[in-house]
Amino acid sequence: MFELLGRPAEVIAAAVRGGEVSAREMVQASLDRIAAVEPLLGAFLGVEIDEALRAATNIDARRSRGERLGRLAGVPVARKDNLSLAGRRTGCASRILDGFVSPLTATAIERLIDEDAVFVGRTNMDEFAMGSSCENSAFQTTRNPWDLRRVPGGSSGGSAAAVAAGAVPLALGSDTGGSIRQPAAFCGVVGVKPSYGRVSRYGLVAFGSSVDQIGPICRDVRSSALALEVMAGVDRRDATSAAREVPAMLENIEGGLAGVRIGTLREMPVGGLEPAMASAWAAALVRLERLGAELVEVSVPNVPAAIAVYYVIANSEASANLARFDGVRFGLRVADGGLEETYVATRTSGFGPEVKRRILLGSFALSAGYYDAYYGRARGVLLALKRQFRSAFETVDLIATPTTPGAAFAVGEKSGDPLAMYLSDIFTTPASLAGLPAVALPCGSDLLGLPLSLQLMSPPFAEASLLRAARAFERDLAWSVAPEFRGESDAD
Amino acid sequence: MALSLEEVRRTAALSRLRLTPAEEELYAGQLGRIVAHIDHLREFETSTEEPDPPAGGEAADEPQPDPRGELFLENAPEVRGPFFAVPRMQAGGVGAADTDPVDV
Repeated sequence: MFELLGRPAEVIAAAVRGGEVSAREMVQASLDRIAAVEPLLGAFLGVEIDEALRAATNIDARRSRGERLGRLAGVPVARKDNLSLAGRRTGCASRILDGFVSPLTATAIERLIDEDAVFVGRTNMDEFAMGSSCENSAFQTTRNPWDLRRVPGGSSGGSAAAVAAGAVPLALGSDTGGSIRQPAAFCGVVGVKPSYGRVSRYGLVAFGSSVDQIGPICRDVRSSALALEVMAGVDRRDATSAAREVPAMLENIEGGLAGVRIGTLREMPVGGLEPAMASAWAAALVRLERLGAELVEVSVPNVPAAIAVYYVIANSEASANLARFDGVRFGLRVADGGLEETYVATRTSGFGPEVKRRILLGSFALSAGYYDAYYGRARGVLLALKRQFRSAFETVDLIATPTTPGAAFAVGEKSGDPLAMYLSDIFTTPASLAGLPAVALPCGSDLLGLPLSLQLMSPPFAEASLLRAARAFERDLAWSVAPEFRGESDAD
Repeated sequence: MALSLEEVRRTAALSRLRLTPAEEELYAGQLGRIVAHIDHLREFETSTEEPDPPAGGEAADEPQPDPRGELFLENAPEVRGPFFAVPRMQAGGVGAADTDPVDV
């Protein structure tokens, strides 16, 4: 069963539908694997054993009655701790949501369950999705399964580590500035940030509302495409979800790269790449060309400004979104005299240092006297960035970059320097700001055997073409997700 | 460049956060370095052209009954009947009840 757990989601679902394996056996295999690797990784904040086995048993009962099962029949799935599932804990890895049980189910999760996926637990993350290492969780630091002394990336680090460790074939993440793609890169798996508007955010705890997206993390591109297709589409409960047709993402996914024009960015800061990443990047370009793609240099002059724009826009939105955590309607309350004092005491006690830093930064950028210089300026640079991307995509079909400047860094290496941590998002923030879909996929490893990752971006709503290109690259590279759990975890 | 302590205190008040003197010093330095990085935005092109948003899934602007009201109340730190209960606006008022109800 463990072997089947490592296969693509469509293979697992076909085996369950065909009766070669039961959904319960599949889910039990996932739960057993979680139990085996969790002491090393700390990827989960909660494993929902009873609920998962009950759901699997129901699927098996429906099959035995002759009912047709869904496209994800019996596939075990993990969800990031900021995605709601009715009746289960959702906590954003924060003390301020202590004890919160969600009254609703996220649309993305609902659609996966409608296809008979089984949710097995909630994964660790940087508190409120604010971070690039999972070190900002209020509860535990998740470890990278390739090297336990290193971070899994963030903020969806628990989801990426769980997938890489073979605990689940699919985990959900959310991506605001790279929070699906960067941990996928560090853990040697595939992460997809869909176009802004492609997947409903109903049921996702908001961070930066103009950039947040939900997406899949899987071991392979085909599973990512299947999960995305199931989750995508307009939803009347999210006014920002786009009324666009959802293509059959798997239909032409083996179509290859011949004739595809791929842009490389003139303004990309290649000087900041670690040597191994520079080599892997050069090799990836050679591979893309060999597969029939035509490489074209394009210019998006505002790309080097993306991190600064991102940290103004996303944190301004966060400072407003997180105002709702005040000890009145949910989670923690620290009573301290009157109402105003209770707000302040609750938030001071409930939020961790990084969340406070970002709320402060956002409040500063929006405050009287600074609004035009920071928020207004960032908004103007952002609009120019979007226009520059639209112009670039008039001459190319896709744009390629590394996903990160290098491989996973060590636990503690950047946690004392917030700016250094922020700068590690240099390649992922542009697609977030421009609302572009982007995929991170393995492109090799460094001298220590740590995964390195290629990022491909496309125009909005061109996910089918994007994933076709990613699949061609993946098939040619024949990467194996086989982490070695090296090093000793001094995990909490 | 650091933010002044006065700027940090003013921002903390806007954020409804209480900082210790040590935290004020820490955030003044850290936020100052971040803001200095953000100041580089002056070097980049700006635009005022808003792209068309994709047609969305707007629902009709009509009230809908929500059968989950009680579930929302179950997460509240304190309720009184069908209401969220909160402390008085001003602490320690003479004869003040412990809490005032706020409508769901």
